Amino acid sequence: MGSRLRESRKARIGVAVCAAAAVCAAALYLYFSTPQGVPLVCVFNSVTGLYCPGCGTGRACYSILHGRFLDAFCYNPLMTALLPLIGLYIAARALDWIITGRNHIDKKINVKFLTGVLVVVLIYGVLRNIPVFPFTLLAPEGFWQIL
Amino acid sequence: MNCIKCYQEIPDGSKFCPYCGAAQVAVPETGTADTQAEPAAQPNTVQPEENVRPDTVQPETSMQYQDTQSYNAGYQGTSGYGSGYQNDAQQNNYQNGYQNNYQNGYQNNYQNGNYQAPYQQGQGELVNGTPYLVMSIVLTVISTICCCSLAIPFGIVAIVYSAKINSAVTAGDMEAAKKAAKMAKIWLIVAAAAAVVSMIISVAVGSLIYEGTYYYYY
Repeated sequence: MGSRLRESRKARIGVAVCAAAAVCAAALYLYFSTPQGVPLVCVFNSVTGLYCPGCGTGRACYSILHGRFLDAFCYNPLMTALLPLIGLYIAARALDWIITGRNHIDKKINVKFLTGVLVVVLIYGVLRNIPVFPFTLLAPEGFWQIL
Repeated sequence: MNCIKCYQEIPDGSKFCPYCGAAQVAVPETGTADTQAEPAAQPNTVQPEENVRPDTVQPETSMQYQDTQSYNAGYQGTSGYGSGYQNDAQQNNYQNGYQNNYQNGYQNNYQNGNYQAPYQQGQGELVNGTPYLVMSIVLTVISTICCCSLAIPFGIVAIVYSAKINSAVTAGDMEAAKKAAKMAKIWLIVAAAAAVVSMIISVAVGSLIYEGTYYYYY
């Protein structure tokens, strides 16, 4: 299986098409679900009651799929800001993998920059749980206070 | 300093880039001994025992380094230094024990700064051919922001092991680097699996328990 994927571009294209189909199915599921209907539940939030850095991502993606980018930003500001980067990364990795069967992208990424992003994400996860005004903006729906 | 080929940030004094494996131009601070040592680091060089090693060195100290090629490289590089030092020592009537200790210490230091021999051993299978560090950090960021908490601890373990690979490679310890790479790979897979599992849990829990309610905290 592994060696076949490494040698055959057709096999890789097949895998990529399957993955793309799965992503499209997930997007369709999210598009036609309503935030009040069939929800996605964050395990971390339902166990601890705290917001994790990803809380609001489902609603943000739902809003993006419906073309409401401002709502998406209100639900999860950092994730909405990082989404173009993540999308670019996944697209580049997928294209590189389909064409060459190898990984040329990761070596070109600055490790310090990535570590910085990780630290920012973790700090963001702490800050959005502080129930004082400027930090409540970061919680899901927080920006609706001022917008 | 930065790698001359891939421009990644690498530790000062590295002779090989831990990211792409490219040989770096000798940096001034490692001195002339290093550049002289490079041709001598070939596997089939003359054993340096007879002509260089002082008689005073005890058998166990030679056993310590004989099994690695880095010993040869390091020792040849220090040959000038070692004999020079021996003269000094004899002039000053130092104790044999002191001389041994000093030479050992110097060789250890030298080995840490010399990346030639380990890379020759590991040629063709560079441990760091796979950029585990970047992969594990990216996985952790994405799972933090999308798949919630279940994958984060595993992702951080993978980051720690990937960081160990780089420090082991720059220290010239290829065995430790390979071990760390193995662990990084395992924890990367565990973290990816945990991300998928937590996705499935959140969808399943959401559609089974909270259907019709207003919970949508994801």
